[in-house]
Amino acid sequence: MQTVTDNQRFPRTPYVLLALGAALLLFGSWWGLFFAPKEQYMGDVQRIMYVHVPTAWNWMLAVIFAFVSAIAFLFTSNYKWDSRLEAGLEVGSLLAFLLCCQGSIWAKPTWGVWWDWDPRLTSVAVLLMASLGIIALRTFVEDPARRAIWSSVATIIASVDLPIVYFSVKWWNSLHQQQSSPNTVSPDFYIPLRVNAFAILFLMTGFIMLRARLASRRLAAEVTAPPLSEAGEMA
Amino acid sequence: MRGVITGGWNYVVAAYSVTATIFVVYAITLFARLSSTRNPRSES
Repeated sequence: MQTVTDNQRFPRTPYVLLALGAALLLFGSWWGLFFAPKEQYMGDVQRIMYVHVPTAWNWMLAVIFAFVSAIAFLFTSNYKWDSRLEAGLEVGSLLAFLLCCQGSIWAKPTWGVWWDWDPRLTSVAVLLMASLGIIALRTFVEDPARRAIWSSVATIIASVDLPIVYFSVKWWNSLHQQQSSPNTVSPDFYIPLRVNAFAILFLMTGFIMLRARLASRRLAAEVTAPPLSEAGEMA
Repeated sequence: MRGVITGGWNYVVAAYSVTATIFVVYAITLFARLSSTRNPRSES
């Protein structure tokens, strides 16, 4: 096992990414809300797409990042990957929760319901619950090695759901629309959609970097702390 | 016209507000947790 380090070669990078992401999100949202035209059938409600779709894309990236971190930890036993796994799980859960909230708000005026047990929505909810379960598992296991191995294995198993999420709208008769592509989205909608996609990408990356830093600091403190019995004798 | 949604700005405002709130609250909690956790390097 390798030692735990708080790797901060670029200490200001996450803060720069967060500032850039926030500025881009403001610009993209302004464009989407006030400059982009209405959609033909959904009207103004379609403007939710400019935050919902970028959130979905970046949530999938966060899940892939956690999956890669889990594989990397199991192959290298380097705890920096465990910290990155923890960060990817937490930020991924945040984005999945946000995705469900935005989708629910969009579903009400278009489908007439806040929620439907449709394959796409259900598979996202399953992955959100699995991620929260793995985060809970990490809080219960005290031994860092077991915690890292168990959560890596659980993350790999949970990630099997990601292709199901992606292809659910093609495999089953889903209420949710199919993935949009340049052929199905009007050029008028490109700019705010892409600006917000990069905005949320920068925010997600900044959050993951800071959260991984926090995880590695906690792990370092945990490894260097004296056992409870010794701490009691010292007091 | 049949099949066309009219209005709905309240849903749009709600979706953008939820997005902004979740990002801001998470950033605040993350900064708070980071500041309350010591950097091992700064102690050496």
